[in-house]
Amino acid sequence: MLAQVATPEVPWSLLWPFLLMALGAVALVTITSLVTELRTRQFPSLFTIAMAVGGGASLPYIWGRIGEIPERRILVLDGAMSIDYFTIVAAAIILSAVVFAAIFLDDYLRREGLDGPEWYVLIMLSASGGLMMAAAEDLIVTFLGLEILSIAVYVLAALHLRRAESQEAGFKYFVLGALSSAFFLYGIALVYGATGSTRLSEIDAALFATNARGLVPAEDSSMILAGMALLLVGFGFKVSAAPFHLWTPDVYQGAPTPVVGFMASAVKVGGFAGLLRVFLAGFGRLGDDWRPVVGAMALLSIVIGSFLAIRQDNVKRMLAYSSISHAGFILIGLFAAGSRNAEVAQLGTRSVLFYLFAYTVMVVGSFGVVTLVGGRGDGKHDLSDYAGLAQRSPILAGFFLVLLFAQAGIPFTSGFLAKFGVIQAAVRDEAYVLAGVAMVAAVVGAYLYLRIIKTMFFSDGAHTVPVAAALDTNVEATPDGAVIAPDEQISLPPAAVAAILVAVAITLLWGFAPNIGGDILRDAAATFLR
Amino acid sequence: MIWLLLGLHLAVIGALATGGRPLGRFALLAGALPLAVTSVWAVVHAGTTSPLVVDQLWVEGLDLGFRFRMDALAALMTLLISGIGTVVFVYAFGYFSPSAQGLQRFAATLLAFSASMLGLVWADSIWTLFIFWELTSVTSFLLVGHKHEDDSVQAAARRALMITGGGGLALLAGFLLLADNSGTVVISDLSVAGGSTGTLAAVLIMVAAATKSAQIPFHVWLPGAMAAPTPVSAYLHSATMVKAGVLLIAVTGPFFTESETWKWLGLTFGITSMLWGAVGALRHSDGKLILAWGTISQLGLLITLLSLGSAKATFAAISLLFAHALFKAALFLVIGEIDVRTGTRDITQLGGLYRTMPVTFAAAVAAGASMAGIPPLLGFAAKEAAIEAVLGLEGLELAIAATTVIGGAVLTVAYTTRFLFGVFGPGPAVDISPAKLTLAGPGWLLAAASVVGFLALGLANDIVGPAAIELDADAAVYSLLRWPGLTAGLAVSVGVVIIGLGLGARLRSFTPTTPIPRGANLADDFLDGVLEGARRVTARVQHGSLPVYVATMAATAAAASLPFLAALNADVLIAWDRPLQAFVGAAVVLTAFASARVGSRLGAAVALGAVGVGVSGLFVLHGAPDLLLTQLLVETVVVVGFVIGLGHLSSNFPPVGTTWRSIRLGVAGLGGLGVMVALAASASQPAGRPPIGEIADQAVVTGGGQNVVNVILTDIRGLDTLGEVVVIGTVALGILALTRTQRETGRNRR
Repeated sequence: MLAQVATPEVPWSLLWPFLLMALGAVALVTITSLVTELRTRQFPSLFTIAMAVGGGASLPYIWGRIGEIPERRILVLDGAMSIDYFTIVAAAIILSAVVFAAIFLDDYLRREGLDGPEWYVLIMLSASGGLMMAAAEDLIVTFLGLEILSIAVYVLAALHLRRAESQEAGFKYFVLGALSSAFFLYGIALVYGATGSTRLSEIDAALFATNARGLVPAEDSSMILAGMALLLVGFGFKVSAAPFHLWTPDVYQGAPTPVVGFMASAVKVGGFAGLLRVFLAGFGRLGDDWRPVVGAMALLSIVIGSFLAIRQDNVKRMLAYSSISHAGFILIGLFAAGSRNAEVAQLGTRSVLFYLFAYTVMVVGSFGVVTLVGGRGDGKHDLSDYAGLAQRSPILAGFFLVLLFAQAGIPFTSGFLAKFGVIQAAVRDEAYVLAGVAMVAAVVGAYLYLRIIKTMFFSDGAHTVPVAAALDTNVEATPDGAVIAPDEQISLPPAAVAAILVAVAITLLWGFAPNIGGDILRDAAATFLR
Repeated sequence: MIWLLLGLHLAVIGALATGGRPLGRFALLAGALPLAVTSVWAVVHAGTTSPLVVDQLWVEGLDLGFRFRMDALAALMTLLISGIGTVVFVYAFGYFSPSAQGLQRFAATLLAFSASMLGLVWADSIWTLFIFWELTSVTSFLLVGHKHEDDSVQAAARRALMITGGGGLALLAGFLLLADNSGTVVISDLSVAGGSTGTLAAVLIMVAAATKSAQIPFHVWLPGAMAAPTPVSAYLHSATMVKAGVLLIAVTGPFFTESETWKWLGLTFGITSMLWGAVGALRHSDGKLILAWGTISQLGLLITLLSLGSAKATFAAISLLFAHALFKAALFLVIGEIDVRTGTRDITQLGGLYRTMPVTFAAAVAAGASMAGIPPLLGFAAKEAAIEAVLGLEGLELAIAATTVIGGAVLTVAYTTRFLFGVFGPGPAVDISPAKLTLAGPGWLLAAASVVGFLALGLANDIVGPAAIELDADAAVYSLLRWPGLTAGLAVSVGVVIIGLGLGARLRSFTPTTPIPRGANLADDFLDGVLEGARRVTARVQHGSLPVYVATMAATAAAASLPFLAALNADVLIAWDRPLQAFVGAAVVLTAFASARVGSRLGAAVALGAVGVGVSGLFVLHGAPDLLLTQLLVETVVVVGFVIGLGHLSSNFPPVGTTWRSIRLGVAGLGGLGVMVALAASASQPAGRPPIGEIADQAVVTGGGQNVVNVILTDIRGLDTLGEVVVIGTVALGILALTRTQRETGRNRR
């Protein structure tokens, strides 16, 4: 006879977004296996969008539920996950990235002749991992989230099987990612060894308590430091922060463009959400130990992302470096968020959340443009392919202009306020070196975007394209042997253009009126205050 | 109204950029409209004594806002920017040929510059100022690079952007120091800064001004920027943008009245630029370059006067700023017209134009005379004020300023003479294309302004006077004089003109070998060095080789764990529980080594399997048979996987060089060492008893199972197991997707 097992109560309604992503993926696979004619229509894309929107629609309800509780957080699944304002904001960002990715993928897959549901299944699975990471209150759950998030993306990176670069990208991403996961896991083991728990709240409590052997982990043991360092390696890899950024340019260049957009947004957001939660809720009181490291990573990322990018000639590679530099800026926000001063800490977390949202919107929009310009074969990513884009497709060039301005941090775009926010937080924290270097690098980095803009608007195409480059990249043999001429019209699928327009609109709207949603970010930023 | 004007500019820029193409050349006339409106507004506000302040909080909580202030000085600048801007747009209409492409783009960018420049002179908060300051740099970059095919033009544009953009950062840093000192970001509310903070701020702001106003040694970008179309040179690089630095010094001067650093740094920049710029103007034969070097020299004079800080000098500087904008823009428009109509602007090839282009000649003489400070022109009155101002100094300042300013004035007269003689003077007449009113008229108009400015000197006084008072209330007693009387200043002026004319006449036929622009080369080399460095570093670091990435990562991680050597505790650590462990351990090490050394792939796979078996042996010796089972199962599956995979590969590893091989072995060894150290370090500090007893009890009581591992997996860590299932599911789906696509690709190929 079995004893009555005390199972933790599962509040399904609070896990709705996560469930929709995870089960939606399984459902999509099942449905398309049974009803095969649904495989190649727009069904998978619409299904994915419906799941993400459905998940998003439940967020206000969950927000309300959290508001009913004084401590503003609901621990679910026996405390393994925390549903709080921060989780919701992170979930909102990730789900929007899913919607964008599904829209861009639909046209892309048709163009490339790669139609199939598995792309969407993997996107949803990956997003569910991201959601898990954002809510995880337990390092093991964080790790699971990280793995679910990553493995799906490894496959996605390699899924353009007609391009050898895509497979190379997937393989590199996988090997290096697996290595970083190993570091992460080892880090968990060390933290567990030092504190006797993988639960963030228990780790926090154990740090300065005397344990069974009469030791105080935070003071007497270097193990906790090693553990934190290894966790930082794992997170740093996921968010492509230097010096763990090496994979980024190679993978961004090779992977299918809409997938890169997803990687740069949802994967990064998931990584940062986990990073914030673990380091603020778990190791918040060890800020003095980890903040210098995070600061150094931030500096390195910004400098590498800004300075090494200026000589690149492939737009996807350029955006890869820019994503490294953005990661650095977000890390500055995290640096401030770790401050002991509650006001600075809240400002820091808030600036990170604002940055993540603004960045997600502009980066998915940017890669949306790159997807369309890339043309059939996904190969036109050289800077020379953008020459005279303003004449060939003024709409696309105009959109890209706004998005690049935002990435460069030009005023009246959300990107400016995002950068301003983190730098301001650093200044409040009296981290002047960090703020100063960030500012200089922001200006240097702007040169990168200016180069693209200049090529789009001030070059006339044809005669600036070297013959060799034209032969290499512009003329792509299609599977049926046809050769596409270099002056092939850029096709503008309405759904994709509309999605980019939305991204541009949000970028501008937040550039002019950044206080929209300010309350939400403020409440979410208060999550980790003690 | 300020917002309305900026909005108007923005609307026209947007309209031109998106739908200006059908307008063709007429886009330039459309671009003149907002500027014309602004100039009317500027005239209304000229000499205002009640500043118009617009304050718009943008982002609450970040203290970020826009603040504009339209005072007399801003009105003067606005008048120059919008007035000369209108004229330049009309001129550009005549300058470009009707068939020129992309003029709507050019017009939009030029107008964007105008708007940025207006924002800059109106700005009254450090953020606002910084934003517009950088925007002028960027738009200037785009305008200089307008003829984009040419590499040297690109280099010039880049150089300008680098120097002025860098200056913008210095500006922001300096202002932040001042703001920190005064607790406000409003420029007109900033307070005097003393001490080391003040000195640092003074240096930063002075350097920022020097970059923008092309002062030595930052001047190298200005001659290069002459590659821009002449309307751009006339507008940006003589009349407006380069004045931004001067304006900055004028506006911030009052905060540094006590600072000797400020004064002497400014004097150093100003005097060297004034003299060396004038010499530069004598060494070139390209008409535009002569004017550009002349601009460097004149800006140097302005900065010298402003750095002196006396009310009289400030007044003279503002007067000269106004006069210079008018005559220098006129001269540029003239040389541009000549360039278009004769096809050259080299003074050694030009000649005889006084006969074929009489009106333009008259205009050039008027503007040139104004530059040389000869009556009856506005430049004379302004120059006179300047000489009076330096003669009124005492001691060291008198000695230095008077001699250099007078020397600079002589050189100015000399290069003006040389320029006018070279371009228009006697010589074989060159062929010219027919005249066009839109091309010639604007130059005449601006030249006439220098004459009118002198004739209606009261009007000029009404514009300049309040602007100077805005900076220094003591300036109220000074005014521009049409006839100073028989003063020492006049005597000096007469001497200056006579010597200058003589020198200029002597140097008229002097055809120098074009000097090597060392400074420019230096700046370019620096930039190229950075770019090349970036390329090299990326080539070295970002080479795309996966094995090297992995090796780097592993080596770094291993090296990072070596410091834990210090945490080893010999009292706690023991070598082994029983000797058998040592044997098995040694076997594991040996097989691991073999797997790294063996040349055949199958051999390596087998050796790896052996490592796994060895490790499971260690598990047994530790009393964990369940782990043994798991490990053996995994090893078996993995080896089967290897064998299947190896079927598609050649039987041996590709050969590698000895060096790379040793590196890899080294990294592997280091990795092993690192892990060992870290493990031993953790073992040295056990944090309490392992919870095995508790778990075993709970397994029976709560989980209702005898197999502890099973209970852990299903009950204690059930959620994690679920997660693992999802991970495995993801992997399975991924593999499915990959193989499916592979199959379809294969089918497509067939």
